[in-house]
Amino acid sequence: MTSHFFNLAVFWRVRLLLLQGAVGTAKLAFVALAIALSIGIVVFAAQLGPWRPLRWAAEWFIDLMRAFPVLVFLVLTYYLFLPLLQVRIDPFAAAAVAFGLKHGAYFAEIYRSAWLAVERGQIQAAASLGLRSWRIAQLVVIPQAALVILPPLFNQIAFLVRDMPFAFVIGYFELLTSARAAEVLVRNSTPLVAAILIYILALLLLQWLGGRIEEFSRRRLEA
Amino acid sequence: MLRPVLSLANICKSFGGQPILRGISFDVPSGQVLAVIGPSGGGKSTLLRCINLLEAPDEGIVKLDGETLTRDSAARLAELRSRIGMVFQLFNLFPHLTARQNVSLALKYALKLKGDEADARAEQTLARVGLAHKIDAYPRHLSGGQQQRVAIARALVMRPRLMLFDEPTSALDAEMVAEVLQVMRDVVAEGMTMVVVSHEMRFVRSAADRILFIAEGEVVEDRPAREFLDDPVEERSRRFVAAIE
Repeated sequence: MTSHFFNLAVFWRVRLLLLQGAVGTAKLAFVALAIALSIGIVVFAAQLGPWRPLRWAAEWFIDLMRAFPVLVFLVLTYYLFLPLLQVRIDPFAAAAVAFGLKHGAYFAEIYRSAWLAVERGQIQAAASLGLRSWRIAQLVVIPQAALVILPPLFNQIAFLVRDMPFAFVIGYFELLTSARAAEVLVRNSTPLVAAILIYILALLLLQWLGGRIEEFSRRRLEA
Repeated sequence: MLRPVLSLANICKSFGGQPILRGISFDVPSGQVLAVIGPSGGGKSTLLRCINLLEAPDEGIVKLDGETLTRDSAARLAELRSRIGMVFQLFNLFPHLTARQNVSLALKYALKLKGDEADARAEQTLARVGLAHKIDAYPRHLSGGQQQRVAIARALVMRPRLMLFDEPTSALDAEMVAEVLQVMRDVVAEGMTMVVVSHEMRFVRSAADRILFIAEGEVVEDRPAREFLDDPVEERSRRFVAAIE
């Protein structure tokens, strides 16, 4: 019975295919993360800025991204939004953009909550000393916000990684796609089980790392 | 007549349609210690924060040495703010920096002093407030009184033209009030121009030259300190003085 879904010989046969898929997942995760972190900064800056239409646009963007289920947003991006905008890109770029936008909204909220966690008195004290706003950000706000931001930031990164298998639906070759292909090839469910195990292992590793980071920042805050 | 260090003309401020300051005007000449007193909620702290534009007045003009403070130019506002020291009720020290770093920060990044010069000046100033032995301590390892003295040093180190104190002792335990008031008396003795919001009537009596009694956003009385305390004219100030002394 186990030979149909947990067969080491089968796993060994498809190992390179699965590796290729895992590399595809990792590549997408990194690029999507870079885009999401950057979009988060832009949206956060827009929210903070003095220009009201930009503030509204940022809030509207965040609400919209939160409302979309990630799978729906991914499919719509690839099959509707990008074609409507006359943009022709491959599934990899489309997935990176879709995940980047979706998670960028969450990162913007994380930046904002960290910014709000720094007491207003800190900013007032720095301003009253004659420091300019970018100096206040650099010298007073960011060093204090950094410790508060690490745990939720890491948490969100884990969520992003967890979303990667969805890229399968637009035909991007990632771990799940490779497992499905291998499954057909060997007529055995082992590749799928292997892919799931790899995902679980990766997420457990991320969770463990996140726990360490949380502990570190808590200790720094209490010291 | 000499030009005043600080000049406020018709300062008005409302929060959500509720007027907090209703047209406050006064000048502070060089070296004067002005105490702002009055019932809580009367607008004293807001007034103080309007002076360095932490709170932007809806109307009115604030001048430091004849120069108008506006938000039109961030660079100019920052430069003028660097000449106005402010001490807060809750100290507002930077928790991630040591006492020395707290005091030298604006020397380095607002006045653009070199690192060692700024550090030397910070150490000197910390010594002046009696904290030479605490220069490398983080705020969380200092008592409330020590934290407030670091905060005073942080303002003082800029060699300001004017210092603002916003209830500097009201968040302190009783036994720490004296050390902070002593440092403030030393600053008074050096001839600093000061605007102090305080409920410490002994300090006000002994150190203030002049009292501004504010209630409901208006100046009720503006008189020499002794004269006011011994003989408040208005009914509201009479009741206030009777209640706190």
